[in-house]
Amino acid sequence: MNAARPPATPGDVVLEVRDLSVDYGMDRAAVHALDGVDLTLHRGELLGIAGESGSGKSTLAVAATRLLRAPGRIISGSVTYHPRDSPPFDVLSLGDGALRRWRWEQVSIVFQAAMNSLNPVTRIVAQLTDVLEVHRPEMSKADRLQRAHELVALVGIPDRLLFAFPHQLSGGMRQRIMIAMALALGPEIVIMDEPTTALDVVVQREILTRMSALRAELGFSVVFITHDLSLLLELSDTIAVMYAGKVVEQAPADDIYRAPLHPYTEGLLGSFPSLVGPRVELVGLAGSPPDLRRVPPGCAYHERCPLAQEVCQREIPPLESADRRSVACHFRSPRREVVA
Amino acid sequence: MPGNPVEAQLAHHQGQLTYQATKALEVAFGIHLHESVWAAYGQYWGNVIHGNFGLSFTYFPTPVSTVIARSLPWTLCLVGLSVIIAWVLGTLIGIVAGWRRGGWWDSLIPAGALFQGIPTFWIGLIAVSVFGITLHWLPVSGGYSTNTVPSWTGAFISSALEHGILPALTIIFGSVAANLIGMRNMMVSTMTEDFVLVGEAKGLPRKRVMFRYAARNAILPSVVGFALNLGFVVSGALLVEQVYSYPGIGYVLFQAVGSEDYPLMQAIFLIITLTVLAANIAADIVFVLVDPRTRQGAMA
Amino acid sequence: MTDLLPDIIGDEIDTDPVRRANWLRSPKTIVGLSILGVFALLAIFGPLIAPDDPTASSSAILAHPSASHLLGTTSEGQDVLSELLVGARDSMLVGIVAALIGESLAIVVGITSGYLGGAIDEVFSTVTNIFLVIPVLPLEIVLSSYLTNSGWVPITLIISLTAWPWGARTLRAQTLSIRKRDYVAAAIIAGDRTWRIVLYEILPNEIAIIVTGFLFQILFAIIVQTGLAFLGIGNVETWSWGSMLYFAQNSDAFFSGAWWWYVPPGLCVALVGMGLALTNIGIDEIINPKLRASLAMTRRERRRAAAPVRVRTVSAREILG
Repeated sequence: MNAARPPATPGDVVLEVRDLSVDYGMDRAAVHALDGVDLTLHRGELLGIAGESGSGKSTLAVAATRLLRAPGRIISGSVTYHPRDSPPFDVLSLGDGALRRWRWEQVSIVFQAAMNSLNPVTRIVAQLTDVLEVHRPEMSKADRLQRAHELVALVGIPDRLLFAFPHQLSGGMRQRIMIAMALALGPEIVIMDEPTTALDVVVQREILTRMSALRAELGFSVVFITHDLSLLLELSDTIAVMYAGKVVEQAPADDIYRAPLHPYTEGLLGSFPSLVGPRVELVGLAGSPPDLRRVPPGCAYHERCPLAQEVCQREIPPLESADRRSVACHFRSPRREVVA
Repeated sequence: MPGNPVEAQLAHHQGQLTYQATKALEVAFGIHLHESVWAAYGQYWGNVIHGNFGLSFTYFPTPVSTVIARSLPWTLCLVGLSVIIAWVLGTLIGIVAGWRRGGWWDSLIPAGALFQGIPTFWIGLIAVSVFGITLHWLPVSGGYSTNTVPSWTGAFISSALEHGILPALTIIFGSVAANLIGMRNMMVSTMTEDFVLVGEAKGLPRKRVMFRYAARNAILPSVVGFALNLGFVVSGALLVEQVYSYPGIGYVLFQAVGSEDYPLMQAIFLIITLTVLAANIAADIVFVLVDPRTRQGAMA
Repeated sequence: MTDLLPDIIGDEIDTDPVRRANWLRSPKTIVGLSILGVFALLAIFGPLIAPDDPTASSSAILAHPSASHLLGTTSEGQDVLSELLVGARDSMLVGIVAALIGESLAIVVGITSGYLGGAIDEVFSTVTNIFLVIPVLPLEIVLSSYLTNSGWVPITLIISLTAWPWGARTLRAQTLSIRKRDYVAAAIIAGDRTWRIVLYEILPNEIAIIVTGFLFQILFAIIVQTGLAFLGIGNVETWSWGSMLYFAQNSDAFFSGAWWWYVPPGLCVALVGMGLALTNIGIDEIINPKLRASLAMTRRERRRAAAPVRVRTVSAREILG
């Protein structure tokens, strides 16, 4: 594993998601995208969220920032944000003005493949400075322009491209602009949803290295969402694994790699080969994720799980936490006791 | 093509033209030469370039260019203004209707559908009967009242405006729905784009995201459509002008067809075609100006 | 981000083969098609159920609507309702036939032009552009002035001649974009004959555009035909809604306040137009997934979603101190 990752220094909690549930649609046709998700993010931490398509990881990101679009609805739960110098509050109950203030200043978000994340008819500089106009009205035009220069320098984009239009830049450059944009107001948390999935590996490496450097310098937390668990193992301090709308395991990256607890995590780890070491037979995961309109009773994973027993079909295993590790399985405990 | 203008004039004067007069007419209409069609055609273009469209049969002996110059401004003003107002109104309402999907705003769609299906000239007929005849609020015939003369006086201008209200409202009513629905659908579709979500995520005020992110992109086809529509300004109002006896170029064209006034018809067709072509070119230019993606050259 | 929905909901949105039947489930389409159905029936059976012969004049001049004349009479004592019903056939017939011809032309020109490209595309596009530029109504007026009362066919042909360019242009653009897709390239490499590719790969994906284009052309044709008849052009011997308006205006029905004469014909055109426009909008909402996403929330859902999750709202001051 390479050492692009700064040493893990879990500070205090900065974001707590508790029992978050999101449905798309209503009643019988409802898709239960998130089902009682619990998640904790610490200051300065890089939390990776891994899962297959449809596991709900992207929904988690938009729901927590209240960017959920119709027909999605948050049915229950709380998203508690802990500012540095004031009491914590629930993001889901913010009024309009407060929400707008909170957005981008405290939490910003970088979407997948900035193909379409930049306004095609506005110049880059305008898209970097409009947040400054709105959130920092005391800044003068010259100041804003100055800051725009600083931001593009941060991500290694040449100055002259400030006055270009998005379609004139390559995919990698656009993604870097998105990152620069996300950092414009110096947020506490940057959420990144599959930021490098659509880019080739070389560009991916560049962007991730740069991002790590920025993190070391500016100290923000990152929520990194991707289906690529191997990437997270390199990058993250902590990893949360999602399946069928629930978090099934959360632990420091090293622990996930060395001693995964949840059978799904084990399956994921077994799905990609290691570059070193003896050749092993790839196990992979049989079956496919459940239809979220008709989630099977009990543990959502039981149909594919090698450990499945009768109790798994009846009862949903709660997410148990101990000692920085959580796992939701009837037969595994974060305290590593042998259960049944 | 049917119709001999000299015979038409003969009929007009009830056969009481002398032989010389008939011959003179033939010369004036250029029939005496009995040239080949192509030669005549070539000569026509030669004349056109000099601004000479020939003499009108209907309004004989007024030159065609005078007839057109007299009626074209009426059409341009009436239809031009109406199309602009209809576009602005439809686009603005469409933007808001698209942004605020749901509830009352969505019912604009079936209403718009109804309006799209109503023939514009029929709206005119109804307006004439309701506002003009039953209620006597507004004049319904002509471009100006008969007791004024075209000139730049206050009396004339106010009379012209008064006579223009109903025709203008008719055209606006007929065209606003299409603009509205088109813009609204573009807005709804644009709002699902990622960059609009990013705009919201940035904590920008709603209005800013609505206008500078969503509308600014959604409006592109509308703008091009508007430029193209302007091209049809001249011909589009024909029926409305007929309903209101409005002295525009559509009205004149219709009279021309009725009296087989070929020089006039040809000239009007030429003007209309040129206008449409000009509008198409303008639309292309506008498109390039408004959408930066069409400009050449990548900087990276 | 925009992929969020299909990922979660699965095949429902894009690949469901039953999707096309969903056209019929949109309330707008249902209403639209019902209206059209009513008028189609009127067009077919109109003359049979008309109470009187529309050409038969009577002594009841400009009579108000009454039991014997449900929609009143004209200035020659003719029954307006009968005129309306008989006229339905002419108006609808011209509209539908002109649209059929026009749309067929559009399909042939548009798809051929888009698929084959090259010189054929150049030629067809130029022709299309020429027809696009020609002002519709003036051209039709001029062409119609050559016609004497020769029935509805010439008018139909003339209208279809001016209606097809828009459809052709749209289909060409769509064909160009479909042609670049992978499955077409695969078919070409596999050696499929051109006509097979067009029929089985390209055409099915353009059905929606073709249908909406067809409906728009009907609308266009009916409005133009009504306009032409109103101007007194075309066949004033046969009854149509437009010719009713022509006679109404020429008999100064407006000054007599005989609203029952000129309101119903225009209203019929408006209703048919509304039916067509509604159906089109309904189809558009079903096929365009971006418009559809907003449909997924009914009013009930919206009200529920708007209700805040928490009762207490946190103000900005509380956060920022």
